[in-house]
Amino acid sequence: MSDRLLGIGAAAIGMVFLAITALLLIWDLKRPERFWYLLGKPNPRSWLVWGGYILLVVGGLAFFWAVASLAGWQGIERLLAWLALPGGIAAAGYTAFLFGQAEGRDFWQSPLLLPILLVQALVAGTAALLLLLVAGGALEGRAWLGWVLGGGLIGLFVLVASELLVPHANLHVAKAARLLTHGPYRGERLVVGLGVGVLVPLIALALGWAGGNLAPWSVVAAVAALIGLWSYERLWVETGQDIPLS
Amino acid sequence: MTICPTKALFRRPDGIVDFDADRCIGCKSCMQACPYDALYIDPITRTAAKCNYCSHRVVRGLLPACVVVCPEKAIIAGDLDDPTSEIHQLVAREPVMVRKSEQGTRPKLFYLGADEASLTPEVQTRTNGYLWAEVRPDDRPAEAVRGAEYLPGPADARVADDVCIPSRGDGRSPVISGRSRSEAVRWRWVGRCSPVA
Repeated sequence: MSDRLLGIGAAAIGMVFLAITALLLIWDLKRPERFWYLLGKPNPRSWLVWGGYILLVVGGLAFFWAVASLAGWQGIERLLAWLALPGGIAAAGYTAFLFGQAEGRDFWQSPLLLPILLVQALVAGTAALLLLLVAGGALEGRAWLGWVLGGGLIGLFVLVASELLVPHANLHVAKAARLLTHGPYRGERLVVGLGVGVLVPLIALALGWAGGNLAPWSVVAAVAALIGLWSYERLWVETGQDIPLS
Repeated sequence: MTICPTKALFRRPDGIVDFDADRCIGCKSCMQACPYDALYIDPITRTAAKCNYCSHRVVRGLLPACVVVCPEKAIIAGDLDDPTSEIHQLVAREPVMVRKSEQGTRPKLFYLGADEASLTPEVQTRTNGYLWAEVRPDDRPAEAVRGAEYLPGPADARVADDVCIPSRGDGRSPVISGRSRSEAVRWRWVGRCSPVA
């Protein structure tokens, strides 16, 4: 039951959020009616184009994974699940290369961006699976996902702290980082990003393990972790654009 | 230019970085990639736009319009590869400066006698409080402008500079935006402008 729930649910969650991502990307265009130019008039050197292709391929994988799971084609489902691993890494990681091409924003040129995005994807994916399993009453035997979530959050904390607190490449990066560490974003970063996003999930997981009742506490941990991720990502993107270029 | 997903931003054979608005999807990625803040969104066409060194004039042997119109001859333009040109000799002789050469952009815009603080905006320290100026309602840097905000700030010029905004049908003249909304109010376009299709 839990395997079937994971197969269909994970693929469905992936499809929904890939669709939301694609729609938001198109909605954000100043000329959204030209979005098909990405396919019809592409620049193969642009990671924006490759990101579009990656989202399409991963969306297709998720669709066929859900179909295979529904139909009970276990062999194909297992194959697609393994293919989804590099697909998920590509979907989460291509943004690092896209931001790397945004060379006007030095704050986004961090060499830690790729590992941070991958760990964030691990945390977000694990949180989504925990919510799915608790909703389906199938968390039994999958408690190790809590360890993955906790480990991911600790790893993310170390990476983000390294990005913000080590000496910076130039003044542009230093001023951007200072907006997060001492500037107007400090409060939200500490309260929502660190407090809600890291401390609350870790405490909730610890209480769940200590009390032997992980299900309700894992819901708290998962929701809090997702809120923290959303907050920090938004702050990080805005901060990079707050330093004037001219 | 690698970031542009549709090759709307491209380098011409003569070295000028030009822009094809017909290919632009308005993703704004070029605005994040340009370290000089040279691109902006044209509110009429809803595509990115930039100075292209008046390439339509240069191909006919004319100088860029800014060079012609400047009353102080503060802008010198020409062929850097021609040893007899004024610009070549000026660059060879004077201690010129460039902006953000570390980005690998091989800049061909040279500044003469410029102060470091005027070329590197990060060096400047601006507080949010000025005695005679408006201040931001939040704690973000005074330069930070995003979305539909129209608070005075250097980034305002990037949003709609040197373009006309059609009349809204209420008989009022279109307004040419200046460096800030308060400055723009002082400049009004007397004639009508035609929106680009």
